[in-house]
Amino acid sequence: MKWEGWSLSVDRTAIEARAVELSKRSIKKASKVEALTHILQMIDLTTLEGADTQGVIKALCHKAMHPHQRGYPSVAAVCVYPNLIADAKAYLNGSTVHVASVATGFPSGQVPMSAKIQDTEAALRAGADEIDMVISRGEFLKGNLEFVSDEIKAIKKICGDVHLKVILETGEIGSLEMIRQASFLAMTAGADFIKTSTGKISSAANFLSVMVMIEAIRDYHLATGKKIGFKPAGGIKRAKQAIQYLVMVNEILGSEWLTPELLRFGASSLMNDVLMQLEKEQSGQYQSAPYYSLAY
Amino acid sequence: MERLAVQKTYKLFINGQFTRSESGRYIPLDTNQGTVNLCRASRKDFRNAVQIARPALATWSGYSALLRGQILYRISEMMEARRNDLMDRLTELPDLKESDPTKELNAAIDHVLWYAGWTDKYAALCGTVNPVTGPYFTFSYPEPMGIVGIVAPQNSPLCGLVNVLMLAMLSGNVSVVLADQRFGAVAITLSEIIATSDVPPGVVNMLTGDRSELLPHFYSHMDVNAIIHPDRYEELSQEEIMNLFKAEGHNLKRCPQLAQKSELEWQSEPYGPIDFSKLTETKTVWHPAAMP
Amino acid sequence: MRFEYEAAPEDTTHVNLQDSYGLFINGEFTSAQDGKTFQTLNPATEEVLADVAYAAESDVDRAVKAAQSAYDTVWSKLTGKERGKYIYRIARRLQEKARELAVLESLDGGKPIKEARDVDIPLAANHFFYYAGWADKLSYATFGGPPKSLGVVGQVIPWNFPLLMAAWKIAPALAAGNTVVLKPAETTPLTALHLCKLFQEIDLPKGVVNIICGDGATGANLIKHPGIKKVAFTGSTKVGKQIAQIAHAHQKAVTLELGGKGAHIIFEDAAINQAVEGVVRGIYFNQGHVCCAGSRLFVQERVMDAVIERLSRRIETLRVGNPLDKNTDIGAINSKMQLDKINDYISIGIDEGAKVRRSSCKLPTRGYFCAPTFFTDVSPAHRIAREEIFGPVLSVLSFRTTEEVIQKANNSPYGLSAGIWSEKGSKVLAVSQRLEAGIIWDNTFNQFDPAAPFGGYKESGFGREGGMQGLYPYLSV
Repeated sequence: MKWEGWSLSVDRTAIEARAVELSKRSIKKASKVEALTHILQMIDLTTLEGADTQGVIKALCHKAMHPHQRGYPSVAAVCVYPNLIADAKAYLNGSTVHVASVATGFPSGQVPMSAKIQDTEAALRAGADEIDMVISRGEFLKGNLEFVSDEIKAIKKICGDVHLKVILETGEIGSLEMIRQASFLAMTAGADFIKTSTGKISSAANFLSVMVMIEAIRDYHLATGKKIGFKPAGGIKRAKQAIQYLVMVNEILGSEWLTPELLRFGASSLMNDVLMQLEKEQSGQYQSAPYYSLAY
Repeated sequence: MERLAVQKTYKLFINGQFTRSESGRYIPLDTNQGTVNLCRASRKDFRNAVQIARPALATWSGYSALLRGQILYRISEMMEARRNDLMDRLTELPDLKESDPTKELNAAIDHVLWYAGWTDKYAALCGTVNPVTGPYFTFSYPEPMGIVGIVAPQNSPLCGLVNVLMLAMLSGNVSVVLADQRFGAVAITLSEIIATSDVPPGVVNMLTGDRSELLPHFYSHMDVNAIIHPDRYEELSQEEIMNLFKAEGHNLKRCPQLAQKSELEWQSEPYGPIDFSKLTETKTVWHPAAMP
Repeated sequence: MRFEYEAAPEDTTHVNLQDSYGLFINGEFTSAQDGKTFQTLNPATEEVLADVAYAAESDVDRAVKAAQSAYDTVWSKLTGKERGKYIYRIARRLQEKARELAVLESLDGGKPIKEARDVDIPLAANHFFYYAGWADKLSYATFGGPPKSLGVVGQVIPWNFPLLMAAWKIAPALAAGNTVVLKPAETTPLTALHLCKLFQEIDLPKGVVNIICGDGATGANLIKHPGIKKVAFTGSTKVGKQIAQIAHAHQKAVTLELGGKGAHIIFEDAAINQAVEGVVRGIYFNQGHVCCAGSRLFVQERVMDAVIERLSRRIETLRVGNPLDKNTDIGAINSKMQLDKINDYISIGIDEGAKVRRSSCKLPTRGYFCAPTFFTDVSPAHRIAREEIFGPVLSVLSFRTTEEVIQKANNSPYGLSAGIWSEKGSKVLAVSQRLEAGIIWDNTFNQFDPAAPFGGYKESGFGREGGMQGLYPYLSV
């Protein structure tokens, strides 16, 4: 591989300093409203629980389409388990909200390849518009990069034009340099998006992993001209945090990435905080949770 | 019939060799044993010495501190071995009747030993680990200043010279020394000792000559990094001092202020680590310390 | 779509800016004896901020005498412990007034509020805090030798970090037991004068620190004054050489913190994205008004294209404008004179045949501003590769081998700072040892800390500020 963007080196102290600098951007008033409005439309409103029922999915879909009585735009997608895709499709019928489904033995990925393929095929048959797959972190950590590359390629082949988001689960990858390596691995194997986390382990999206992945996307773009999307997920509860990520994407990847086609936020409780902040900007009053409907 | 002694020519010591001044000039030096001739170095001899010293800096400062210490120790060994020669040079000095040559020589040898032991220790005192805020490992350590022009003290035949020379040498500096004219024979004899002590050529260059002629060149040479001149103002007018430092302004030579010492003080007190730091540059290095 | 950040100006209402300021002599603000004043401007708006008393020779004399009297009667008689307590008070009071001083620093000097807020003021307070602790421990720093103070020290500081430089000068001087007469830069006197108000508030004995404002002539009068035992100067190498001559000829101790042309080296095995950020920090921090700026960038040829591509993109994202806006990355150039000088160098670089790249940002119509700029195709002989520009202008040069870049980096009369970007530890340490510079930043740049000695080799000056080593210039040892 030629160098262009492929060096795996990441300096933690320096990238952290840059992340801190970007996180201190003061986004206020009109620009805050603009940022929050973008973020709302980039949310993959997510429920991934063993206890999810059709009722939960119905509530989720309603919230996705109708965030608030004041009539804010709908979110980008709902993200559910494969079993519930068909229900989500039905509830969302006629709306612009996509149905994304996790697949490939989410969240651990510790199932045979055949099961991953079946899992994905089932999701697609059920009408998933987007697939969020997990990589085999064990194989990756063992150094079996070819295995990981091959599994992504195989899933992408099945997906065809359906958007494939590849979850790296950065909290299980031991270093920033390995996150960078995994990012390149996923992008070269055919990922349309790279995504930080499953949300199923305690260590999820954070400044450092977000910065590393954004830079990898930028470097890949400089080298190939291809634009890969980015989805931070897991633990994004506050609008402020989402704005900080938005700023990072804006300043590192550029404003052309500020579209649901290339940027998503995988979250559930984030949505109401975004709405509360938007309302606060409108009314000047700090808001209270009971005034905002639940998504389940 | 009495044997006719072989007379010695005191030459300049440049690049590890003994050489006459390119100018062919000499200075007669009266001793109790008669008159001998010293070479009278010219500005070109000085320039040659600086040119020779520059590459020697990498060699000498590149030696391990332990090796530099062993070489300085070797100098003290050789001084001891040649103490008769040094004693003769000290006792033949006509105007040092009050000084005890034996004490002067013993102190000089012991002082070299003092410095020999410091080479691999002073950095542990003058260097620091700096407890900075943030994920950095930061440390500071002394490096040699480079080429040091030494104007040897006028009030001490051997101890003064040994102390200023060792002060420069111990931390890896190289030097061009202007010996005091009256003590030229002592200085060249010391050079003969240095020449047989495994000191790399060019690390020490010893000139004898006229102070007022050479001083402006020491101060103005752009490739001299520092000057040690413990009694620098004694014989100079205010205007001459201004002129010296006008020249000094060209490359911001370091001119550390060293305590002025009497002849007996040169014998009693060698320099210590605070003085060593005056002929070193402190380099501070920052390096991040972070998990990958 | 573009995502624009709305203006986020720092609140200035809590800053008590006076119309006029006196000289601070013997604990009181006083007019100049001849009543002369000068104006200090906000470089971002060109508006006058205040009138400041201009110290003539007789005022300098008053200040030095006040300092001498304070030294003789009070300060030299205090124990180190008591001196230390005063210095601790200064540190704490600075922390309390941090935001006010940050705004003032930004107003008077043009630096971005985020830098004044996050760098200048906290570091200034930390510096006092650090040296306060040394005041009663000096004999440990001198390895047992008796620490002796010098008397009255004369200090002249520049306009790039006004309060921080005052702290760098005053804190070690006081800790070592000296009294001070300090002259701030002509264009940035305000934070030093507000520091004087703080001295009054903490009951610092009268005359221990005196602050006199003025221009180069004022500084020269201070340095020449026979009552001054030690001279400390931060500023240009040209002035530093004149000061060295005067100080040496009058047998005053002297330390100098002068110019630089820092070599910033990116090896092929560097973390390139972070290296580019390091370059930005190295040259665009504080508008490039930094003596230790990494103004000569050496890039190993294999990664040159990658670095230039990233740097070109990156300078477009630097936000140039109102220094008081919390999102501003590059504020105002400190003065019209400095802006002219920078623009001259940019013309020189173009005339020399180097290729110029500048941010396409829109500059404010009022005030002194300069878009972030860098030159490629620079050769070591170009003036822009040799002379200190002191602005947001970088010269990019290439190299092929490690030995070559060491030669190139050292090929300068300056020797203040250097930066090295490489992931190979042994190489980084070896190159650090070979570079002739007083501060080496490995995989980082422009880091400062009171505990870390700072100062130059060669024509970048001599003496160290910060750390244990920073005490020595203020002690007779």
